[in-house]
Amino acid sequence: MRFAYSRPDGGVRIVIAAPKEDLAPLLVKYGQDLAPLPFTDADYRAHVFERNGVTEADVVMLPDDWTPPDGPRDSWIISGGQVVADPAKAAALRVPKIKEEAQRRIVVLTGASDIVGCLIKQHNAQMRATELTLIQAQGGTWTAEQAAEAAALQSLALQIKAIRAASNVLEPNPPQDYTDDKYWP
Amino acid sequence: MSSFSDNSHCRFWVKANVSGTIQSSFNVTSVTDDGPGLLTVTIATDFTNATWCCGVAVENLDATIDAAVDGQIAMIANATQAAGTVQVVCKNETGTAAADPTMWHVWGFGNQ
Repeated sequence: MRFAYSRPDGGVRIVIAAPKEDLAPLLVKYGQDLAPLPFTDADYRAHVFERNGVTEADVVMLPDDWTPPDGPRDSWIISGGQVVADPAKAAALRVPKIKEEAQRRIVVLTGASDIVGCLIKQHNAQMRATELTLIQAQGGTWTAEQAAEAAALQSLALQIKAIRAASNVLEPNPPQDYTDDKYWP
Repeated sequence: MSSFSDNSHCRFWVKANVSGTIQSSFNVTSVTDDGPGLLTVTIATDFTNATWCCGVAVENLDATIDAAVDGQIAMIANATQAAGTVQVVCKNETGTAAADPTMWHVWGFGNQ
């Protein structure tokens, strides 16, 4: 026995009852002669609803072979007597995931193994860029090695900006397959 | 020290998978999938109060322990323990986000 009902916040609870045969020995009723009375299907349903603090009118019954809707768990709602994924909620839930994906791609781009390493590498790159800029600002000229270094730093900055821009494009209308390379530079 | 009595026995237990399907149980009416990493267990016969001792464990996601996601944390949800129910939580390895385990194991000891 499986049913769903709405949480106060609009989300969905899915209740799965223990099999009747598991509960019957525990909850068997006794008659006046102390002989057990049958634990009927109606008794079973009444027990499950009562213990869960709901009535049959509150719930949507789900078949035993029920399959969850295709969408993030937090996007599920009850609509039209069914549990469905709300596209608007699902899209909103994907926004932080897109930011995480952008961050993951920036970490990979910098060659760091995690976000802390990534931030340190970006910080070091900024400091080096400042040093190189000062050389020219103070009338000096770059060596070929310094020019190549400056070009590499600028390329890194542009690639990070491109990933952030791609994230900004995706966030207002997040696609389901947001990790696909086709969305990213 | 009190002697061993019926109270020393496990009063309920349940093993349920990530979608809440009950694999096996004793004295459990139902389990409720409340959302990612959240499960409520409804006990068939109440404890006498809410101070019973609860245990919860989760099963590793796969056969190896080689990734951060293998470090899931199982716990009792704050202030959810009642005489007849308890909500349990599974979080990711950093404790910052709820995450479904492969399998839940929940049990309880106390007076009924």
